[in-house]
Amino acid sequence: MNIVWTVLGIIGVYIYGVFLMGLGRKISARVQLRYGPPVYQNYIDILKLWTKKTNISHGIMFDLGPVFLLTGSIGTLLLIPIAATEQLMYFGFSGDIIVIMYLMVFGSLGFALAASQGANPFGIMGISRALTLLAAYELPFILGIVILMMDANSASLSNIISHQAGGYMNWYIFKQPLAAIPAFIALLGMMGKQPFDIPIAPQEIATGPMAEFGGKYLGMMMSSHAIFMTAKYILFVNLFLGGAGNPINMIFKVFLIWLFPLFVGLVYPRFKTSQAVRFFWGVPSLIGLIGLIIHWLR
Amino acid sequence: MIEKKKRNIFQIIDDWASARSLWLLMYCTGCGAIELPPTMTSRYDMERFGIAPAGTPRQADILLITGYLSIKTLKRVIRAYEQMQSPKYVIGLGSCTINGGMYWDSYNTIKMLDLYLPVDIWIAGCMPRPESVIGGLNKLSDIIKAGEANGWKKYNENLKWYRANQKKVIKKWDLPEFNY
Amino acid sequence: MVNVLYFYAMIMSIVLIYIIGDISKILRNILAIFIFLYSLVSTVFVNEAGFTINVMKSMNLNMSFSYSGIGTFFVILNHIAFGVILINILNNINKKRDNGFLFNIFLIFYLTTLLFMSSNLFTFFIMWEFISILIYFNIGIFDKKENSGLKYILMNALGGMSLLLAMAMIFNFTGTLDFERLSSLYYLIPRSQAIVIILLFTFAMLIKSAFWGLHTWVKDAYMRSNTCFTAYMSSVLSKIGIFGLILLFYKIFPYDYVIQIFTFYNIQFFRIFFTIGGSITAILATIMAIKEQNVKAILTYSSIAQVGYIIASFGLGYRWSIISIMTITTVHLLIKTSLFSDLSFIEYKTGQTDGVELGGLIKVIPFTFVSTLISIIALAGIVPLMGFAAKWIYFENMFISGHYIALIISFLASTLAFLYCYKILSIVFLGIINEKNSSINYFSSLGDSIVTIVNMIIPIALVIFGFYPYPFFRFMFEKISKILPSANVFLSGNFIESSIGYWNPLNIATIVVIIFVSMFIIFVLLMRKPRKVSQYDIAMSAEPVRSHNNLHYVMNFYDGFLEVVKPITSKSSKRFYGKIYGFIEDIGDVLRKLHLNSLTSKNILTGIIIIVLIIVIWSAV
Ligand code: SF4
Repeated sequence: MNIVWTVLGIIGVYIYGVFLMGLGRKISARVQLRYGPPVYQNYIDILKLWTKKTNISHGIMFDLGPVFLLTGSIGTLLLIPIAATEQLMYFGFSGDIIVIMYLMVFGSLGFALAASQGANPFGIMGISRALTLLAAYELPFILGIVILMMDANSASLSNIISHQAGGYMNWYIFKQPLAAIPAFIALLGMMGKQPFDIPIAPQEIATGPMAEFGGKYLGMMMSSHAIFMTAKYILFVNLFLGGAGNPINMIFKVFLIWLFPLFVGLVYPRFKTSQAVRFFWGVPSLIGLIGLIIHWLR
Repeated sequence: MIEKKKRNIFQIIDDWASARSLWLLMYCTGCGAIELPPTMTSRYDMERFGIAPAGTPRQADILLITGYLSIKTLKRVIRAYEQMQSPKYVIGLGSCTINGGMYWDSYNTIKMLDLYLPVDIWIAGCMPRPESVIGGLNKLSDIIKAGEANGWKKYNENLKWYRANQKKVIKKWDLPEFNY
Repeated sequence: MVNVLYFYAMIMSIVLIYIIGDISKILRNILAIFIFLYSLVSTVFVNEAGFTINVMKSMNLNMSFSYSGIGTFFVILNHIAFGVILINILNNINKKRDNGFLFNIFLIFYLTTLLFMSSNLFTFFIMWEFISILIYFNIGIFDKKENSGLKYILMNALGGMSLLLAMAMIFNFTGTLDFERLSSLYYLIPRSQAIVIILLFTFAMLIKSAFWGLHTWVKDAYMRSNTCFTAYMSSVLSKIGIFGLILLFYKIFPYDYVIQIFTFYNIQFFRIFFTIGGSITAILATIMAIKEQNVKAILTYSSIAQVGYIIASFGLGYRWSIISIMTITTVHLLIKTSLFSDLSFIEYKTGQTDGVELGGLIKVIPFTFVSTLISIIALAGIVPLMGFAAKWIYFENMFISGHYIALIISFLASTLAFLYCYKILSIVFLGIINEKNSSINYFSSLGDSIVTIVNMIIPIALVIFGFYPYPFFRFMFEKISKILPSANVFLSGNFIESSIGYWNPLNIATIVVIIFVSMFIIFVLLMRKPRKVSQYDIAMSAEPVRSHNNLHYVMNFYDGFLEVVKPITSKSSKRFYGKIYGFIEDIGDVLRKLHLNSLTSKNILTGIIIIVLIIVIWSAV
């Protein structure tokens, strides 16, 4: 029965993630005074990519790239409890937050190899930017996480969730604002939305790592992106918004957090790589450090 | 000519999806390029039909030729077209792609794009307004939905003929044969 | 079976290798492998023995070797690493004059084994000095022009001197150098002298294991020597310093005593020094590695960085340090052996370690690629492989022992490690293949195939122990329990648990494998056979590209990042030491002026010197 729930959960997250992507396009269109595509546009896009008749391949690592990505995304998803019900906890008991953080890079690094075998200099350039960005936002993120770990005195995600029980004032976003601020700024980088879409940057490096991928490969990658994006939001809900008792609650909370990178992205133009690193290692990290020291002294 | 075959349900779904999600690779060497920014942005907003710009040829569905092609640029266009994944479509924008337009007398431009690449739809005008660009794209969408936009099949089947035409104008042919 | 016979038989046979090498290559190779196997059998598979060689009976100085506890672990690791490297060496050396090299590295291997078996400080010191000198000879073989060997021997002589001084002081107070007896006699050493001893000892060990600031010899020494030898230096010889520190913390003095005498105002400075210093070593070396484009240099700095994590682990605490140290040491030793062995194969075939000339080698040596890939994944610490075990234990223990700042620094360092990990794979194996390299016959002899297979052994072990690390941990806990009653990380069922977290390697590996396989099946089912395109057929080249250096992306790989860290990378430690030198010179200048100017200043100076001398003598007595 567990398998069925797992598969259902993955499919649910996938559908929700694609829906959010489409909704994001609609909302940004409305902000820019456009009509915008239909909300279900991204389903059609993925369907179309799946129905492409031909594909090209640069070699075995190139082929495995999308598989790596999907493995990384689904693996990450399975370690993060979607809701407190028994069926939707999945494998949350097999690893703590450090395991999750290292599993999160599994897919991206596997995909990096694929982009690299594509031999497109733009692809490698995009990967090098993406890894730089990863290193950049990891600092504020880990600062936030360490503060939470100190507060809950545990690295286990379920313990962190249970520490936020009892009313929304117990959520870490309100209880530990100095942890939440750097972590949420790191979320902007994690999502790769506008101010930090340096790895993709269609106008500069022609979608970077994806430059060589078309057709079904691209379809797999978009699917993976939808799952991975939602998994990260779910992780953030669990960390800062007290998790969720049931899936509906989780859907709502994810939607709330999802609005934040979306609107930030609509306002700010793209950073340069070095600017992004300086930004993340500057003010957000400082806030996190202050939070850490305050919590330490207490 | 390709015979019109009876499509099964999967092909119908395929065609419907392809028609509703068109990613453009814009080849902007002609004057028509200037009409594309308004087509994409808030004023005319082609995204409401599911039409979006694509980053690279590998991801694109439509190759949009925005006007006259010199012999030098034709080479690039051919290469870009052959790197696209089928089903793929070509749109000729402006009268230059149809019959040479005002470059009829030019020693250095090609006159009929259709001799070199299988054009699925032409948008006439010099230059066509965004309305007609969107109109053309919608027309293409209809044709795809009906399963009749088979330019890429035509190209595959008549590759020899196209190659001969291409080699006729491109004197120093150094496109690698691995392309197709 | 570890007895005097082993001691003499090894020396005899190593000399024999040198002599036979002149006669026949094949005979030499067979003999070398035979000697290695002999050493393996007599040390690894036979437990619990020891022997003593009397050097100075009157002073009670013996070379005594015992085989127990944590040293065993190092001996086993030494044999694993050397076994793999030996096969590479035997394949790579063809000329007769390379016999000296083989002789040398065999001797170093043998002495290192003895060093890990030493049961008193005197033996440790003798082996240490021998190894230092032999390494100097070895670097000298390959580097005739530059003075990297000189740099190395000067730094290590400094370390050897302080080790000797510390040893003399210990002997002065306790009258013994035996570890077993020292651990109960340490209280005879007065506190102030204990501080000096610990500082001297630590200094010596930190030089050997390339602490940041004392690492200046490393890059040249690693870069100039044969890649096989670099492999051995990076994997095993850098651990000698670690082994010495373990001796200091767990055998000569009790851990808590060492920490306690450096505690002032309730702050445990020594722990802070180790954790912060180690983490800073890790992050700075990582940043330097990112900057390099020669693969050997990248791996060199990566080696310094990994040793930085190990050094940081010493500050974690009595029960927490050792398990973290041992896991990272094991993992790093295996990974670096594998990576450098692969690199040596590549260098042997292409004559290059510079990323600019390499690229696209996956097409010609796929097995080497797989082996490197697995090792790199382990190095980066990605989840299902064994490298993550080390990272996980390290981070959990960092958190539990309350070193939050060091935790964050090292977490950032290990994230930055992804950058160079990816860079290695990208510039060597992926991307565009160099025309020069594509025409080489990579499997021209039987030796090449054997090397390729042997180089796969460690990566396979990394995968297996990544999925199922329990035997490894059980074995390690057993060895650790000989010097330490209990550890804080423990196994319960399939879980590895610490007091704040848990991790189920088998479960996670299973999840990853199942998802990977099912996704792969979906991929194969839905994907019609894709069309293979040539490597130059990329979407961005309007004009067809036909040469390697137009598309191979190596230079300015992380320029956005390097722009940010430029203040760090541009200030090399060379300049730092130059400044110190200048400063000392300036002081000397001032003193000389004082000295010359007047009689009183002369007297004052003499007085100061006498006082300093008195203090030194007093504290040493
Ligand atoms: S059709 Fe007219 S606008 Fe278009 S390229 Fe030709 S001349 Fe220019």
